[in-house]
Amino acid sequence: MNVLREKLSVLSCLMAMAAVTYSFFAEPASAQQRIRITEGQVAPTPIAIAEFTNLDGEISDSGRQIAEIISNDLLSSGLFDPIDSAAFIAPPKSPAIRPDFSNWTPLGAKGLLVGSAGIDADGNLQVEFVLWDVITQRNITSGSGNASPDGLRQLAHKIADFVYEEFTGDSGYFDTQIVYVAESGTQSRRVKRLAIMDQDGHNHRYLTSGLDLVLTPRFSPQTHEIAYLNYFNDEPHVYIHDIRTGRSERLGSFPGMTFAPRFGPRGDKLIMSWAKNGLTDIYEMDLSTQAMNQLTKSASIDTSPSYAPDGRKIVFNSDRGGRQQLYVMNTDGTNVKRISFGDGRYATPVWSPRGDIIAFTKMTGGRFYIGVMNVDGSGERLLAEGFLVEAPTWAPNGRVLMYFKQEPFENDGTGGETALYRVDITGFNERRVITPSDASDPAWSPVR
Amino acid sequence: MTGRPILISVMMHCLAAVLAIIGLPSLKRDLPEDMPLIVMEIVQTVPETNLIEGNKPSTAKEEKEPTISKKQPTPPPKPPASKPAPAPEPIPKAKAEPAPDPTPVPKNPSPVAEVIPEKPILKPKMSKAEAVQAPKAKPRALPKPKPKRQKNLASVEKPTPPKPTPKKSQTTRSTSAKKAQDNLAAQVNKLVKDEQKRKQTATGVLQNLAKVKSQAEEAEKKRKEQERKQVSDTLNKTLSAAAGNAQRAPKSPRNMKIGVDVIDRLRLHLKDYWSPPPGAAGNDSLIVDIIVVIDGESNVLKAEIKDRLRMSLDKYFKASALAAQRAMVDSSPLPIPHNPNGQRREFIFEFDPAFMSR
Repeated sequence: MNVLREKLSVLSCLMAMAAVTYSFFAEPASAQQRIRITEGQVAPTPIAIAEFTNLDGEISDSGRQIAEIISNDLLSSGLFDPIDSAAFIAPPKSPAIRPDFSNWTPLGAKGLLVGSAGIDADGNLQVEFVLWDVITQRNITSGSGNASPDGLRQLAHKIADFVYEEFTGDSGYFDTQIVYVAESGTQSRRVKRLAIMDQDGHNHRYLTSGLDLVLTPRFSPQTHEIAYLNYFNDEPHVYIHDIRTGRSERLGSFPGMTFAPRFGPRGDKLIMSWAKNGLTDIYEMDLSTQAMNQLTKSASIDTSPSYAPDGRKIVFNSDRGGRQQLYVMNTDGTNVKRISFGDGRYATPVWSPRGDIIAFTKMTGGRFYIGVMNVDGSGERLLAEGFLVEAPTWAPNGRVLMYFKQEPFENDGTGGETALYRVDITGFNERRVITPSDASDPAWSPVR
Repeated sequence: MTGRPILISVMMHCLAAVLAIIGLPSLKRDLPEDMPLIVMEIVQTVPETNLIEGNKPSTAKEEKEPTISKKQPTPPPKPPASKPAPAPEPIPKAKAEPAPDPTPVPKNPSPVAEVIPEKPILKPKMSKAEAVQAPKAKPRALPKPKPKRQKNLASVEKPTPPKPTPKKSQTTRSTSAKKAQDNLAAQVNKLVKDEQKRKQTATGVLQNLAKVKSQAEEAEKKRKEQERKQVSDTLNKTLSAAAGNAQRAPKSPRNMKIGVDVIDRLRLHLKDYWSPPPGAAGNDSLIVDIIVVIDGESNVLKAEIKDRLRMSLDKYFKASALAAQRAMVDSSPLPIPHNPNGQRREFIFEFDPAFMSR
């Protein structure tokens, strides 16, 4: 026992010595003076997008087109300021060559994208690119890809996503699509049909003929299905349209009216409003069995449900409190809590893909607003205003909102122009989205 | 499910404890015999460690810089150090104790010559020690006894030459027998007297030599002690400087603090260069620390992101960190008063994008 005690005491002595030695020689945390910087500026990042070259170092048509698409994507985000290529001192010849940064710093560029594009033996488009940090003169990221020549635009959008993510930290959203309701005709004989396009307005096409009135299209998480409201024989019902086959199918056969559909986060469920017997409640449908599960039971109108990205909560609007307000409940319909307490009415809530905020439409003082609030209802901010602004939809990165804005009609029935807009969640950089005709009810797809 | 990992953990801990207990030495075991301490070993290690630089108030960081350690080349001081080395030469002469052999006076020179080979043995010892100590006051203290020894030896040797005596004995052989006998007796007496005198002088010389030797030994001991003290002092100083610098870092020029007015100027300056990514909006955890090194003219030499691990895991943090790093590099030179010493300075810049949420 004595030996054991002795050895234990030696062990404790050694540990104590080690601790003392460490405390003596350890570098103190506050060796350097700390200077806190709390003010900066919110300004677009100047970036140089060099036209992509071919294997010979010459600029090709496809290379020029790719650079243009990337520049437009970044410019539209409002977070980048692409530098005019005419100002380039010495355009780079190849992504394999380290650029001479002294040619780019005078332009104020903070980033430089250099790439090459060429057609391989199989006729596919091959692309390589390198993104440089001009200030620190380091390679930020690089990549390569290939696609059929028809996929040039999508390839360019994906490269723009890379650049966007490296400089902002957010995922890019340029390789996405928008489905919306294309409107035409006079106010009394309005034609509304589904249309789809890339987020930058290219590759536009119509999905429905316009014989039936359509409303509230919503993308599935798998991006190839769209749920929407279709008035067939003046009966509104939820339909599913498959983009790949071009076919539409009514979802179930229920008495009454179903509307305001929205897919669940995994795409296996659909949540919607069902009006029957004078009551409008929220139901959840299992898409594999088409079985309906009632989530709310009230004498009021409960509608516009939207899942949280984790699928555990649902936000919706209801007039159960006497005025249209926003409520949050569990996905089984329990634990209903009101979250909006401001003046006016709240509608069309949409949970952000980030899960931290909820976008909504607000009506007060005879004006419409698009706003966001925290999931507990705090921190309400209004981002857009108009005679009629409605139906916000989130970009997949939760950073940009799209909605439609309608101008008032004149007394003679003219006017009433309806268009799509998008705005950053900071409220800056509101931009109109160009469409061939009037447009409303946009829905943003996930990244392809 | 959770029981098994806990069981494994407990078993491993027990195993570690047992191994520690078994592996530890016993205090009551027979200790190995003490080896005689060789002082010279301590002296010899010193030139390889640059510790001599610690004589001057140096910092641990300065020691890391190779230029400083290389610039301190002890070689230049070496030549002067080798000069004092001859000083000990008298010591071998003093060792010429064989001289006390009374009769072979002429042999006196030869023992000196025989002792000379010992010089190279001593010289390296001295030169190494003095190469470390450089031209300090100690070597000066030593030379004093040396000339004394030399003088003593010279004064002793001069009176001793018995050369005249043999000459006289040769001349006496040509005289008559009586005279020769008388003379012989007188010469014997003289020789006896001379012998006695010589013995007396020899004992005096020996006494002097002994005194000189003891003085030299004492001086040598003192010198060595002083050297040892100096080495230990420099070692202590250097170690304390190394540890002290870590503890009292702000006092070193490298980490000299700047005033509030300069900090305000810096904030204003960096505001034009820092553009946090919009993804940072509303995210209070995206505070980035950048370790910045500037030269004497406040040019940014290095701007390093402190939390590299988080940068590789969190894309929002990565974008924020790169934006802050760009701001630091782009804003060079910083509006910080120049350092007249030209020495580098190091700061931590904390970029807090909270203003974006306001």
